[in-house]
Amino acid sequence: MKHIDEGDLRRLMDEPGEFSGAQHEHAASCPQCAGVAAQLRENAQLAAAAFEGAAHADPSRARARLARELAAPRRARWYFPAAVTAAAAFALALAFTPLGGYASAFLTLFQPREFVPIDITQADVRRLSVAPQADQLGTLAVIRRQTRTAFSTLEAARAHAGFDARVPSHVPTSVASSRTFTVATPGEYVYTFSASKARAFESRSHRRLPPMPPGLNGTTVRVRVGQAFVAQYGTNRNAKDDDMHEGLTLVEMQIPTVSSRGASFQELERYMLALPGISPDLAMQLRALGDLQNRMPVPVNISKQSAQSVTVDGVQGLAIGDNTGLGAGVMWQKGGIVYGLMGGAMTMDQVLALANDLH
Amino acid sequence: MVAATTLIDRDDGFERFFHDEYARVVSIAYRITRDRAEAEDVAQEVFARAARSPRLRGKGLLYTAAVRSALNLVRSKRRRLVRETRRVRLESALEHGAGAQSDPQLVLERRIDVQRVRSALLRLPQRDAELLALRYSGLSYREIASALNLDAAQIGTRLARAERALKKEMDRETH
Repeated sequence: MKHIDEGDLRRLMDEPGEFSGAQHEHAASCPQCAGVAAQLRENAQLAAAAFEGAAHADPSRARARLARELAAPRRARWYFPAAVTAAAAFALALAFTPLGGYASAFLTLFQPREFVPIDITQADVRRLSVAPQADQLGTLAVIRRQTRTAFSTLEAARAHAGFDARVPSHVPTSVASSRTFTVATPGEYVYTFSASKARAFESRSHRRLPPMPPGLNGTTVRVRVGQAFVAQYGTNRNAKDDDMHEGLTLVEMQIPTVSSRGASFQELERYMLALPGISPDLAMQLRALGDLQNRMPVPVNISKQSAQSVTVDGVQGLAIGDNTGLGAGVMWQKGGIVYGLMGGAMTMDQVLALANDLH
Repeated sequence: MVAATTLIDRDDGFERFFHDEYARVVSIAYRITRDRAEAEDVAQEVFARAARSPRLRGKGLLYTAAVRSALNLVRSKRRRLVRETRRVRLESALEHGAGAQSDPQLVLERRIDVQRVRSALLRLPQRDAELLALRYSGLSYREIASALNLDAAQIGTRLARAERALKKEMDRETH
């Protein structure tokens, strides 16, 4: 009889009933198979020790907790555009002039080439909700508002995109039933810091803010958002009793830029990270980012999502997954275009396969 | 809120599914997190998804979701622990001079010891980690094959390979 292969020797240990008497006899009498089995057993014992232990579970108590959770008002659920918006907000808050010596110049300084996860806890989110809002520290002016146009065909949308918009060659049949394409024109926004608005906020709310450095008052930050192309496949948002985000969404945008005139980066960073509502851990993570000219912080809620660096479309990207393993997104930058692809009921592998298949 | 309540009240098989599977899901998650409260949090999360989406109520999908959720939780905790350690060391060095040992640092290092075996698991390919967690939670080869969408005849070979990889990573942790 020929030797038993490694996989069957391993299964023989766990499920002997799956094998014939002859196989059992061979495994017991063949020195070569016995040697392989001994090594497999040693590895298996080590693995068993690593996983040993059990937790007592109380289904009734857990069922009551689940009922409370499902009946509670729904928290806003993460989905890809929200992550981009939040990332843009962080970038806005933090991406400013690299050196005070250039303070009077108008510099283009933020062009995201790398996406870096910032771990956010529920406690961080609660604390952030008490942080002053942008309109309480300054004024936002819309220089050029983005306009969106929907197209029923890919060809029409591509003709208006202004750059070479790419889409996956094949999309899963589960989302192939419907598809819409949207093109957004570029936008431009200017935010101006105001010491008087900050003082007014303090007296109105009876809360203390860190003193705004003299150089920060009047500092302007200009954000230019590039032309964008969005392709949506399948249902974007599902029925109300199911918070799954079932569809596939692809966002492509010419790289946004942020420029500023006024305070130095160090002044701005010190001020923003000292604002009430920014936890020490969050501030430390943001300080640790360092190169904000090229690195875009992406908030990741660690109780609900995970993030990992991946190679996608031939470059480095950031993949964010829902903790249940279903629902994943990936963002990357290539050739001056920022890409984001999100699949609501898809695994990370599926989303990455689609991202690697853009044409 | 109304939609969620209606969902719970509806007799669509969820109650039975929950009571049949809850203990096993906690058990799977616990083998990875080694923390009962965290294992229960993982179970809450995957069952909340299953309550809202009936098509997620297959056992295999549920078990795989529990493993992935638990692995992600451990991975995130570890990143945070590494950062916390760096911060405490830095603060300790600033307060007491380089080389000083403070109590918070010792506490942290003990926590890292507990995490050491988890870190070996996290360095494995995701598929290997998932397979090991499911096998040592007591799933049969057929159940594992169904959960991971594999052929049952492949499980022995993959399990042997995953156990070998785990031993190698644990040896690295020890030396």
